[in-house]
Amino acid sequence: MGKTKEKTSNADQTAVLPHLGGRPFFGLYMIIGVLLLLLAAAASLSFGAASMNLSTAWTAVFYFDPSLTEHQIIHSLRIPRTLADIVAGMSLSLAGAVMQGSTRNPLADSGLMGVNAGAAFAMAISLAFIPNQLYTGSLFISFAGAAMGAGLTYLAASLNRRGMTPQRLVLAGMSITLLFGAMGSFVSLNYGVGKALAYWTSGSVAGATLTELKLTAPWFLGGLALSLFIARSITILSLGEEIAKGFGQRTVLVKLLATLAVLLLAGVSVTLVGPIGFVGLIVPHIVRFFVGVDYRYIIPAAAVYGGVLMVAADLAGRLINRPAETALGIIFAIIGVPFFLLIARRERRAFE
Amino acid sequence: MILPRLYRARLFILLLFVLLAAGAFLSLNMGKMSLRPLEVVQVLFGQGPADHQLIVFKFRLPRIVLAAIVGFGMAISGAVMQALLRNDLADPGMLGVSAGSGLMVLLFITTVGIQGMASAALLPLLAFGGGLLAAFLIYLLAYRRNHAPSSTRLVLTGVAMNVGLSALTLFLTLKLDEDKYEFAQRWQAGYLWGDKWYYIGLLLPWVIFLFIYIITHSRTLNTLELGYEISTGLGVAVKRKFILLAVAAVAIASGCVALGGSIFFIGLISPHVARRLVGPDYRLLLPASGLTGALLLLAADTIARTVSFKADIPAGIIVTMLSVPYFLFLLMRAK
Repeated sequence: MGKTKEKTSNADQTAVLPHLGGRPFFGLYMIIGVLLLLLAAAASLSFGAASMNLSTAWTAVFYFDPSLTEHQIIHSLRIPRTLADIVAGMSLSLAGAVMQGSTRNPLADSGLMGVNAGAAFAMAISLAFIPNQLYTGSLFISFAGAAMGAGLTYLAASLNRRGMTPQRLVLAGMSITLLFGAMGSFVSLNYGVGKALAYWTSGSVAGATLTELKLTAPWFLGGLALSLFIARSITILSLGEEIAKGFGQRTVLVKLLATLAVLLLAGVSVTLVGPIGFVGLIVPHIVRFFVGVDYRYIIPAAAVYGGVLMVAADLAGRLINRPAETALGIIFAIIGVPFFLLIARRERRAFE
Repeated sequence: MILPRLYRARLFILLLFVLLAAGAFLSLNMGKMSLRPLEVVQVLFGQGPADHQLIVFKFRLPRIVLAAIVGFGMAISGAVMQALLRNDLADPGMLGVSAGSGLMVLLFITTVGIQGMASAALLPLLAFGGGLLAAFLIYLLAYRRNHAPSSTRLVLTGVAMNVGLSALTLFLTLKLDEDKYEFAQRWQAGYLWGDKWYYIGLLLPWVIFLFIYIITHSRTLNTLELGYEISTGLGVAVKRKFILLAVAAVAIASGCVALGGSIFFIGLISPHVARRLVGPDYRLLLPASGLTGALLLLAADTIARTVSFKADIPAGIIVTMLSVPYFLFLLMRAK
């Protein structure tokens, strides 16, 4: 993933864009990010309830020997888990970055936008009415729920005549979350699936399998490609809708594509690891600090660092009180809430 | 006939009161075992068969009274918060104050359990402590030196607080066994579990006392809604009044949360409905929104009690389902 191509048809765009963030160190940050990701993945393969050293992990990956228990653990549990972490972390951060750019909202995050609640409600329904079903089924159900939640939130927040403001989006997301939460607990109380749902809600990658990964891979790749494809347009859109229109951008089309990318990516992550908030909020902000405000750089960097953060957080969750695991959703809420407050405080101009 | 505004507003308040009484009477008739109105009247006058007396006095009446008090308290708290924050979308549930109370109550339930009189007295106090702590944290985090409290910042901080506290609550509930978990889940969804006379005996004076305090300050609330600068200009000690009234609002909400679970939206919707009926003057708005809240929660709880779902569904769930569409409608029209 190098720099995005600088092919421009419009002279005005070239005049503006390089000033935004022609960061010479972007390549360096990406290389560091990939190295960190490899390091985190290696650590995630080696440490856990049963601790092994790095060489065991290495041989298990490259010279797999089915007769060894340790190799079996790594192959059947830790490789899918680490991959799921990476894919989910990347998806969440990409979705967050695309949302923040296309809605010009520094507080956008798929977790705050009703995506998770929609998926949780759909899961409650599937747990209650069609138990013991195949993975594929629940996969598509939570996907549909996520799409429904996000769609409703977007709709509710944008129907105002004055358009979408950060505060309005947050409140709409909150109330949609409450609505789906209420309907979810209605279903789960009525059919006695509350505890099962709560485990799913707290977010865990422990059950990830290669089959699940294979099923979600095309959606993930589609979302990734789409967000890289529209990165340039998002940069322009993030300058403001009028400016983007002035450049001759079809803003409605770009927004639609951005929403599609967010839905794909948020759906993938929610099916893989359950509803986890704040990753999509945190990562783009950290990345923006390093690579500047140009989404052509933010989006790829957010993907890489999102993977790093997720793998690291999952590893921490496994190690904090071994052998029990701390749910990912809780870890991210603990990191995320102070972060949210910090951003809401710093970007006060946007809200007052 | 066009009446002067004041008379019309008083008429509406009276009407709400009558509606509430009628609703309560209707609700007494309804339930898993329906009684005829005449039988209910008989029981109320101390006659009628013993099983009817048991149903009315032991089961239905406390629940109805509790629903009315909790709805009233939440609505008052919401109305005060909306005035203080000058934001029509403020509500103890949205702001994470209820979540703070909830966390405390949950901690108590998980560690000690709910038995007897001592816990009944302790629960509202604990909830008050939790709610106050959450409110204090929100205020502190949104506080900026040399600035009047900014409503947007307070609301955003509150939403974040809500998310964080909910995550902690989830963390705790996962450690519970199946029985306690179910209680916790119901409680979080807004279940009027404290329907015993001695719980009510504790909650009622608490709510009445705070309501009296708040209503004597209704003129201050009227002034505060004009803006903090204007209020200072008009001679209101903004910071002091803000804090005192906020504490009162938190106190009234957390008492209700302790016995009624976290019921969202009552505090948000009722003042809006009341404002449409009696106008923006808090001297009239406060009683009107309290009565609206009581009526709403009573209706939701009666639905929950009467319609037979498989399980006993908390009233809060029905309130949320009914009021989110209205909230979204408000959001659409908000400036």
